[in-house]
Amino acid sequence: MLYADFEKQLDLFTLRVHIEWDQGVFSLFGASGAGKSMTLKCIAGIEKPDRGVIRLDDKVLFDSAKHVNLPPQKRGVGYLFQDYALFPNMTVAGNIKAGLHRLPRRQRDLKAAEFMERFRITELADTKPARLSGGEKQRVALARIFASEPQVLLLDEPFSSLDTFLKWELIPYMKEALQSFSGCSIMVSHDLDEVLSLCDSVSVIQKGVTEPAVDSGAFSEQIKEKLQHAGLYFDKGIIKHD
Amino acid sequence: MDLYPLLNSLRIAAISATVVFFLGIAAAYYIAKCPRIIKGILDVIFTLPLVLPPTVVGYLLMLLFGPRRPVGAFFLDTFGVKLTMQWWSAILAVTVIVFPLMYRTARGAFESFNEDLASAGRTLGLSNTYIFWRIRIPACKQGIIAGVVLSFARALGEYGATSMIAGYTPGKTATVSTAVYNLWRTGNDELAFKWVLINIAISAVVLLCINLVEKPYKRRSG
Repeated sequence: MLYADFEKQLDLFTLRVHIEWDQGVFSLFGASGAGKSMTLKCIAGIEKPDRGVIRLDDKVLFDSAKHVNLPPQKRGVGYLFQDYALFPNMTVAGNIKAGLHRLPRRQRDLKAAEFMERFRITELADTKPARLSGGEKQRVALARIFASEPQVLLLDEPFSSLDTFLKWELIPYMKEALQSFSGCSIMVSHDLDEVLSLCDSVSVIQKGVTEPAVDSGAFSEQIKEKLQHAGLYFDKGIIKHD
Repeated sequence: MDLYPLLNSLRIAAISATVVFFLGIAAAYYIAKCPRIIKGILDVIFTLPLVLPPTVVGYLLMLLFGPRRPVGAFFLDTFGVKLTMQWWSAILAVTVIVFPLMYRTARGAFESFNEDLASAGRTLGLSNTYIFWRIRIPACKQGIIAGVVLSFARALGEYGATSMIAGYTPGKTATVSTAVYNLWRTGNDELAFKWVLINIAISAVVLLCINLVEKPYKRRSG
């Protein structure tokens, strides 16, 4: 169970986030620059909120009143960056092993091999990130995160650097990965297709303020109604003209 | 021909480049974390030796390290060591002169570093030391190597501040650049010319090294 309730003053507006989420995929849906990435960075501990509380189950990650602010290393979050943030000087295998560097060598090698197998990137083991395609990078980044065994997954616009065609190939793959994950996931996106095909619950974020979350089915209905007023209709996540 | 000036120049340049490698990287890394005003002031101070005439730097160093000046007198009284007119005195001068080159190139490299890589490392549980040495430095490798080679090249040619703090004693503090001036001044043109040729050869090799380092960098970004 992730509980986040915090505020942070930004240049253009104040970020006011309220998220309570147990299991499955939660989505923050909003325009670019609405504070989505900043929200994830605050949960991960990369940025510090001005005040508020972030809790993961019973573990307090951040509490301004009690002066608790755990570093990202101790928060147990897996963060999928927009550009995947693979370490350019390491191979695919090296990237995955980096997150396991505390394990003894043999165990580390076995675990890295296991996760490369699971994410179907074994044949890329000795390749440097610069030579990977966008989709491959995403798989390597996911393997690296899953191998480090986080309790929460944070996904920052996971498909924004891929073209639409590739995105449709990768969404089922991502869905499978997310379903196999036992903790909770938070995905931020400005893309309706992604949100409706991957997420269980949606909260709209506007100028840094999160609205109460709704079930993604209900959210899809809301969108449908809005579009009908404009003479458009909406089918399985794809907007079409009448 | 006595090759002492060459040996002396090379060791001064090598030691200074090594010192400046660590100092420049540390300065470039920590200055990024300073508040804006302090950052501005420190940046001016760190870059000043690049634009000041080397004689001005030499003068300021003598104000500090001269045998009757605060630091110099302290070392002379407590350890019986004179800080000026030794072959290693030149290291003080050369390090100060060359520092801005390393600092500037390292800072440029750090500024183009994608901070998400460091954040990714932290969320994966990597220590800040690991991230610095295994992710940040390798990603900035090209810029840092270029900075070291450039510093080494400039260190080899330093004349102004070196001649003030270490002087010219053949077989003791003579460097290639001070040897050229003093041989020419005393009318030993033939020997001076030999040192000029040696100097040109070394500088050409160093510049060639810089180009070799920079080429793959450009190819990758372009």
